[in-house]
Amino acid sequence: MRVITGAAAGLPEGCYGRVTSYRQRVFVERLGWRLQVRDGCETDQFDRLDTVYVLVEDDAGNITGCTRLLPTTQPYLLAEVFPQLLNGLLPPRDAVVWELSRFAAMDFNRRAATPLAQFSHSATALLMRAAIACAAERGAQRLITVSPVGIERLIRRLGLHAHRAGPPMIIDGQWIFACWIEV
Amino acid sequence: MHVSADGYVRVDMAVFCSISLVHLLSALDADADLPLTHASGACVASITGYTEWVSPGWPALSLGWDWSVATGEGRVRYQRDGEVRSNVMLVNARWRDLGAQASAMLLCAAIDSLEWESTVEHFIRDRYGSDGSSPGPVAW
Repeated sequence: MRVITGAAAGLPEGCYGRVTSYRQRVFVERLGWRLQVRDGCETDQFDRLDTVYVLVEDDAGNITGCTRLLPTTQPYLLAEVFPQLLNGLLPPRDAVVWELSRFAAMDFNRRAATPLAQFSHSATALLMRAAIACAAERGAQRLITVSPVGIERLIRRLGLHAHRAGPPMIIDGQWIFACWIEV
Repeated sequence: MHVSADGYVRVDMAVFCSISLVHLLSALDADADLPLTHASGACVASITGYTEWVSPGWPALSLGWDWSVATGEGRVRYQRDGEVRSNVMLVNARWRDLGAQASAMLLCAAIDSLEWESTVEHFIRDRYGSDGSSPGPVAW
């Protein structure tokens, strides 16, 4: 497996398209999220020139995981779409806080026994550590993420210190919450 | 009480113990294929899940923990597994943080003194009992 990081313009040729296609397969096809899809690719307003992508490829070059990092000094998902998850706190706008979103570690070439096993496979740990290292290189001291309830304990299982920013809320039929992760 | 910039709500233990937590949700673990154990020739599924509780008002204290169903002595019992996850940072009388680990330990003890099991049991029975629906996959 290998890790690739960078803004869209700095990724190897064709990589950005494969990332957005992979996201479409995971989040739209598999999870059924109602997201904007164009030409088989899932993108939104937070896929910008300054967005940093972290992806994991297997030895055959297939993407087995990806995520994106956004500086909170610019518009980001939690602040723009889900600020109510912060328990009344104003969304952080700080160079040392970055947002982690669209995190997925799903190997389409490997049948996991359970969804939890999909999350637990080595690409997940590798992807999370790579994302944290990538954010740290850019000055992050903390990450914030919006995720379904249940992810907090999985983050902790990876040996990371995480705590929720507020209580879970039901949005679009799914219980989600905001979670802080120490870098 | 207020929310600190780090996302924690700071309270001392006396205040925390005076707050009544309200059940928000409980769910079975997202494993489609639950681990199986064999007992007395029968195949028994290990039932595990998580539960979320919240304080009324603002700022909200949010606590969640894992649980499992233990059987023995002719009865079924829900028990907490692992640490309590929360946005609570307990402080001492001088308003100094006790730290994440000490807070979690004290919160665990507080949770264990509450009567939460029957609430979770009823919720799980209502949620999954009738149609057998199971939780979805994991990614965010």
